[in-house]
Amino acid sequence: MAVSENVLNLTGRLAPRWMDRALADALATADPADMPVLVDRLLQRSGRIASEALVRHFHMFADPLKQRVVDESAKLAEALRGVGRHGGVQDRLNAVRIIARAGDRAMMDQLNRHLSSSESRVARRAAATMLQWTERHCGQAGADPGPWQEAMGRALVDACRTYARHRWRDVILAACGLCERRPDWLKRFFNPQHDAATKALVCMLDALDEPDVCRLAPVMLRCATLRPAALRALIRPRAQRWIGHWLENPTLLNCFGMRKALAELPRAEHLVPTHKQMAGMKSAALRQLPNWIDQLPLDRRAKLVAMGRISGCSDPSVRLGCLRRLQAMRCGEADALISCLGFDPSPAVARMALRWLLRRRWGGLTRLLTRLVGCHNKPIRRMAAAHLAERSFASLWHNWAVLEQNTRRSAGRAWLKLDRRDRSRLNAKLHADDGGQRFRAVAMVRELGLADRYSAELIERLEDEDAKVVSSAAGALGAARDTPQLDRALRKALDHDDDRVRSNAIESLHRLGRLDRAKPQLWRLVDEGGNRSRATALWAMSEQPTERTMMALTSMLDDPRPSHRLSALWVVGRTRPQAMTQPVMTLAQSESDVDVRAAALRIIRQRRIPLYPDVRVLGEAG
Amino acid sequence: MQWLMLATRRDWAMEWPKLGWTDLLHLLTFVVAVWVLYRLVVLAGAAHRWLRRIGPFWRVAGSAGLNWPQRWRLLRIAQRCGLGTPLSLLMSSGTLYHHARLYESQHSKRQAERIRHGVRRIAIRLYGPHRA
Repeated sequence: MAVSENVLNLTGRLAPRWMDRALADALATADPADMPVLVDRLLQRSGRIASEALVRHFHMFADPLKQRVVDESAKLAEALRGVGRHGGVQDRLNAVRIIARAGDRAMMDQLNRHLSSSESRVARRAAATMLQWTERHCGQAGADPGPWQEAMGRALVDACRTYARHRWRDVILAACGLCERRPDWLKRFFNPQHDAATKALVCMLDALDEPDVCRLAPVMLRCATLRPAALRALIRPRAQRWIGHWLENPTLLNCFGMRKALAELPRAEHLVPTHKQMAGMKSAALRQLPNWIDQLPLDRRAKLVAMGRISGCSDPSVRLGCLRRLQAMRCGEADALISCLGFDPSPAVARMALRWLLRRRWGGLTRLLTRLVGCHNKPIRRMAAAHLAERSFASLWHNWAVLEQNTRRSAGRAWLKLDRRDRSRLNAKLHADDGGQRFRAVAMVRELGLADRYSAELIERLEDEDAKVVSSAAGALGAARDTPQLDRALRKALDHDDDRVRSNAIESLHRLGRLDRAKPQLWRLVDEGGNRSRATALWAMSEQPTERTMMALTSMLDDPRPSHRLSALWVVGRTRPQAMTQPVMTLAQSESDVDVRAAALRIIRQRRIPLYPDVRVLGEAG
Repeated sequence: MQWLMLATRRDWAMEWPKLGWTDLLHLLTFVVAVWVLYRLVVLAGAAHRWLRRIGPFWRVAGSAGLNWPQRWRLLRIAQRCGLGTPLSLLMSSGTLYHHARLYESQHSKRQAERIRHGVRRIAIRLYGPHRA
């Protein structure tokens, strides 16, 4: 050990004043190896002389020793203050270095005092320290930014007030950095009372070269003093580079004055970020983009183009914001853009977009729904299918009468695939108050081959008050599965007042192969029924022709009523009995009713029977 | 003190007192005595302060094994180099040698050699031969 233990032990008993003086005087010229021991002793004694000696010789210490002194800087507060007031240049520089390294916000006022030092190195160091502390402690990442911000705020207000004396730009930058977190403090730092600082800031804003100042440009719109300069800066094309930084401030667009000032911009096309810029933006900034574009004074077309650019963003919340802004625009072009959001990967956004378009009854909705039915998003696919089914049912229902049979069947099958509520829809129509709707519903069931599924409803329709409906239902039931209830209902329909109903019931029973038990009723209809039921009954029973049926058919062909004769010819045309050739020929030759005769001739022509076998054509005779 | 009484009169200019050589001698004696007294008091104060400053050093240096001439040499070095207290010279060998070199530079070559030799012996006494 370089320092004599003996001497140090002996000096330990001395009055503090002498010991401090001795150690302090020895510090400047001591061996480097002795320095730690001396510094330790001085730190332990912590008197004024000892502390001042440590501050004055701080620049001579090695780094570990400097750190040791900085760690104990709380003990040196008085000495730092004293040296700052009365010390030389090197002493004050040491004091600022210790304060800077200590990072103690209680020493902020001392730092502020050094800012006005006549020695430029001291003042520059103090200003740089202020800027460094603002960046380190007052940001979002700071451990406890609140007290730091308060302390820095007070110090920077003083620094801005005395800016005319020191003129250090770092102070302005530090104030701007702090204002980024606390925009309401802008007026504290830059106001007409702090004219020099305000003018310096305006110059920096016009130059647009300091990132700290450029980042704050939109926030300055709040401050009446800085608003003209901020507007000048914002209309410059170079301002585009800073959009990402501006939007990182979550409270940027909260202020009404700021939004109003933005609306006063003469041109703002350059303030819409490009794809490249958006790719480099943080998510916090991206989330503000829709609101930002909404506030810019752009015409509708430019705004839509900008929104379209954002709608491709990867962040769902950005797309949601974009959707909300587009909804607020309430125009066809915006709806067209919203339709693209229907394919959004986020189910929430896609659902909202689709609901909006449904509510707006957008023109291209059907086309969109048709595309969405095949999308990969399951909830959207279901929703689109449900709405498309509803719309397709409505369309099918509306155009049913004018569609061709094949088109009806294809469209109906497609609708049945999509719609999960087809049964309830058709049921509602089958039980509608309007007879025409009931008739169409039954026809739809029959055409689409749904008789088996709707057999209960169709059986119920057999009791309908409208004969057309009953007739159609009776016809449709032929394709249903055979059940005792169905058999009973159809046999009951054979006694219906309407001839068409009876006829259709016979056809259905024939298709079901249930004619055996209904034969008495059929014979009764042959004897007493109308032309349709009579003919249908004869046709149904002619599959196994008997003498009785032939006789009944003959008598029907001889019926005085033309409609009956015509219906009998229909039976002959379908069953083609050989025995009926002669009566048909007779009708073809001598029938007075035009329709009946035409029907008879058609049958004869189909069978290639010569009408007048005795008459020879001259050419044939040779 | 007649002349003092005369000097306070209003019409002293009119009637200038007659001062003899004796009076002047008394006056001079009085002034010298006051000045000597004053100097004595100042000297006593300085001596007191010097002793207070030197006292701790003297005791510590004596306890550290330095003899009177060595202590006197350190005192002279501290005094000529403007150190607040000669105790600083005991704190570090670097300090001792630094100030000793300054002190040497103020002396002739022969004396400097003698001083250097004496300081080396002091350093050996204080810090041991390996550091001296």
